[in-house]
Amino acid sequence: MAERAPSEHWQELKELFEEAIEVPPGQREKVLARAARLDGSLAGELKTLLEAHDLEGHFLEDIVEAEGRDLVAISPDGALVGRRVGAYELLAQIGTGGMGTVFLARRTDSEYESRVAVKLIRPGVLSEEALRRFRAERQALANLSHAGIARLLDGGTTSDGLPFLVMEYVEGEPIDEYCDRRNLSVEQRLALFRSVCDAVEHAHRHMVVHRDVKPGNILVTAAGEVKLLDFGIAKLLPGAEWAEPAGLTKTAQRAMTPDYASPEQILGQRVAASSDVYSLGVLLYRLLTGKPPYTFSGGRASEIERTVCEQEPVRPSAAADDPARRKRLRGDLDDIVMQALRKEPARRYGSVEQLSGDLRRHLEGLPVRARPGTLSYRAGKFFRRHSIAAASAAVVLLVLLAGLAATIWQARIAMAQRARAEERFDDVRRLATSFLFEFHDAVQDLPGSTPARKLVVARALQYLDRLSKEAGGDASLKRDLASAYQRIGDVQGNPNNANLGDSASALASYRKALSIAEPLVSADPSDALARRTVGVIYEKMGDVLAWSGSIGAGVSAARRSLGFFEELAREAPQDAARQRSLAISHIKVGDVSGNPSFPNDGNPREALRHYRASASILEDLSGRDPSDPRTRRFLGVVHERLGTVLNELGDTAGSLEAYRRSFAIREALMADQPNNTDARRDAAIASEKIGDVLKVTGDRKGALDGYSKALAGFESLAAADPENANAARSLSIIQVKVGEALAIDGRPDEALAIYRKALSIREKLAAADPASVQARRDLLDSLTGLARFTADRRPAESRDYESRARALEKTVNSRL
Amino acid sequence: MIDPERGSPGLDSLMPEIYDELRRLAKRAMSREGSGSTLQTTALVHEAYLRLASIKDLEVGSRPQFFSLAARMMRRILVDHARARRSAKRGGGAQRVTLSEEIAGESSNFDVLALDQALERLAAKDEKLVRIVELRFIAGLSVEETAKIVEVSPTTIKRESAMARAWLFRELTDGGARAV
Repeated sequence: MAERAPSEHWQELKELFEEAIEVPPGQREKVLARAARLDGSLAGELKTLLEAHDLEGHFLEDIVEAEGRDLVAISPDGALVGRRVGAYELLAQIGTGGMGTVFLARRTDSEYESRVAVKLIRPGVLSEEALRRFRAERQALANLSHAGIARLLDGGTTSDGLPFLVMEYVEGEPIDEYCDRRNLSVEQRLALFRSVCDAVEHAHRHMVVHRDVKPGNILVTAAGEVKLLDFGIAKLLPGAEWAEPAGLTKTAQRAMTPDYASPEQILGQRVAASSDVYSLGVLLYRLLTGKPPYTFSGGRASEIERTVCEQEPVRPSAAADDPARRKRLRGDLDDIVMQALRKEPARRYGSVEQLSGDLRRHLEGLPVRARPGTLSYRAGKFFRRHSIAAASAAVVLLVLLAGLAATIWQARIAMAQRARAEERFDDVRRLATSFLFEFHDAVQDLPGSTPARKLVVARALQYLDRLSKEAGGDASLKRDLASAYQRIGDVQGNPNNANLGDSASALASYRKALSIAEPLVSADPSDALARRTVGVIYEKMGDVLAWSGSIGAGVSAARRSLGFFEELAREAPQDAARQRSLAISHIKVGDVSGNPSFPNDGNPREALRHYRASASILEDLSGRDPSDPRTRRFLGVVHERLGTVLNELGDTAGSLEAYRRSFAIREALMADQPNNTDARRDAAIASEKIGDVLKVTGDRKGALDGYSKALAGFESLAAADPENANAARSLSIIQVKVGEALAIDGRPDEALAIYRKALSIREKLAAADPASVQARRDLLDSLTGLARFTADRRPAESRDYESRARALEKTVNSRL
Repeated sequence: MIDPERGSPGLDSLMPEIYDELRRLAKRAMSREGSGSTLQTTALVHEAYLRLASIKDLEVGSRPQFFSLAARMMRRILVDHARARRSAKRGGGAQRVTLSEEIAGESSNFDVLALDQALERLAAKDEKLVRIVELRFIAGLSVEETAKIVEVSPTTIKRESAMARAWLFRELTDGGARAV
């Protein structure tokens, strides 16, 4: 088929869509069928668009109208405007929240013309909790008197008996907007920030922790004065005269928002003044770089928790966009911000005053007290512990990365040597990107290697970020960059390889990869390598999204990926590698669409469709070159997958046929390649699955036969690699299955013998790895199973198993 | 954000003023009305045109360009407003939201921010559809007005609108839209 640019694809899609919505409903199928003849992906897309067309209703108008109404209207609480509260008339609502609403108000007795802010409990949320929080705020404010803190002026009770607070009305804008709008210099920002520190320090000296320091609560007036607002979740420290009632803390802690919250707040732990130091650190980071130190791509509490409590922020100098700003931040300011942002409260500045003092020293050119970041410190410790291979590898890597930085610089300044510099630049890039992964893989199994791996990933990201800015129009460099980001994403959180378990960062890296690779495709739609790169990135994204719980997103990413591989395969029907890639991509989409062995979208029919498409491509390839081991391997995989979904769909006969086909392919592969342990294991798995299906259908002999063949395979695998705990565990699992099949077949003695074999393997595994909960659970399963199995005929033996199981159960539960 | 080829340089320089004018009018509408009313954006865009046309002495021929810019600015204003509202929910002003509430609130696909992102993606495929969406559904112009500005037939506007709407709806309902 001829090559088609994406724009042609879009044009065709549009024309078909516009035709399909104008024909009578019954005729749509014809348009769809025509689309399918043109190209399968076109028909699929057309179908989803038509579905959307039928469903959409007035969503667009609704979105615009809702926001438009909000833009020009006051919220329902506005009904209070015009009412009098004590001696004050409410003029306009200026803020609203879960508990309270703030109004602009004026005194009606005309003694003062000045405007004030009146805070009321919202009528709908009146509760003991709201009243307590209100009193806490009032108490906190009453303790404070500082030019940088909005003053409490008055308070009282409305005619409805609700408490209200009257505060100084501050007209100003949030500190971050103020700085950005006026384009303030670093020095000016630091000066403003130090006045914020003064206000917070004043509160601390009066035993009040603000707990909600963030730009929205720090306004700068037209006169350039800083005002700290909203002590709504403030806390009085122990030792203050007013004690906080139990129960308040927890709710108040949960009420804060993640962007500026300290790790201890996120975790709901005890919060002290050091928590405000942390939030000030976040604020300083934001003021200096224009960005928050963390971004939460998802929003699940667990992810936020992990990000704030574990992820090391990028140093401010690396986060800022402007090169001059980056230079300005490097050194002192990096160190100061990072010290304020330490995860452990005790390792931050001991007080706000110390933070502010360090900034003063920096401004005066004196040495600062902050010390460089914790991650290198921890990684350094790791390298000292694993001094041989890991450290030398890491040193080489860091030297390479440093060389890379130097090269970039060199490339920029030394035009005469440009060609040579770029050559070296290329070499270093290649080394750095592939080396990163080799290093990562080499150390991942060493205990305590996580900080080192994180450091390497963080450094590599920094350099890649820099490199992307230098890449200019070089398409091949950009493609490599995109792949490097993708591989970083894999290391950060792709479940299909060893990873750091950070799916949010992985997704961020994949997005960066896409942002580099997709424009390459738009710029040159015929660039097959770029399209392949984009296809791979979407595939990886699909993995991470599906495993991190966003099934729908995972499916659509996998589908997007498939689109690219479809196109690539269509363009070169004779290219076996492209055809195989397409087949693999179909398997991926099938897995997330509806394979019960994966996180999936609950649509086994869709999975079946994709597996069949994959199988047909692979059969075709196999027809061309029956001996190609890769084709055979994936044929084995796809038939196993087919067996699984057919079984899920209740098609037992079809499922068995598919598993048998998978087994036959793998067995043949094994015969050709006796050393191919993957093939051996895969064949055993297919055979085990045959046993599983037959067991359910009541075919005892068949089940036993399937399990026995699997047993032979797992036995030889375990014998070939006696140190391999996984192989031993797999063997024990199939032994139990064989035992069950023997018992059902009326052969209790043989069953008992093999159950005992499984038990002895599990005893060894549990002893070899006392920390493994999995190993103890397996052992517990064996003991309870045997206790039950022997209860009738061997009561003494049964009691023995029983008591061992009881003892073990305690340790399993207590260690969980 | 603005396609430099779209408007004449003279009109592009008006962008900040159009933005400010729309915002000013929106604020005035707030103090005047006090509660919700019919489609706000249409009135705002027309009023802004009338005012700026007389102040700036705009040529009659620049009306289409003006509306294209104003529709784009209206989109930006809605987005800025939604962002401000979201950050207010995060604690700007007096709003408090618990972590779990915030998560629930943020998972909504049907808001201006999600729409804006989807429009960005649509722009990569078909800039014209985005323009039609801005004029028809964000600035609230009629099919005929939009047709004149885009310089195609009203029938085309209707068809293209349907395509854009279906595509956007699919983006917003498809869980993958935001992530990929």
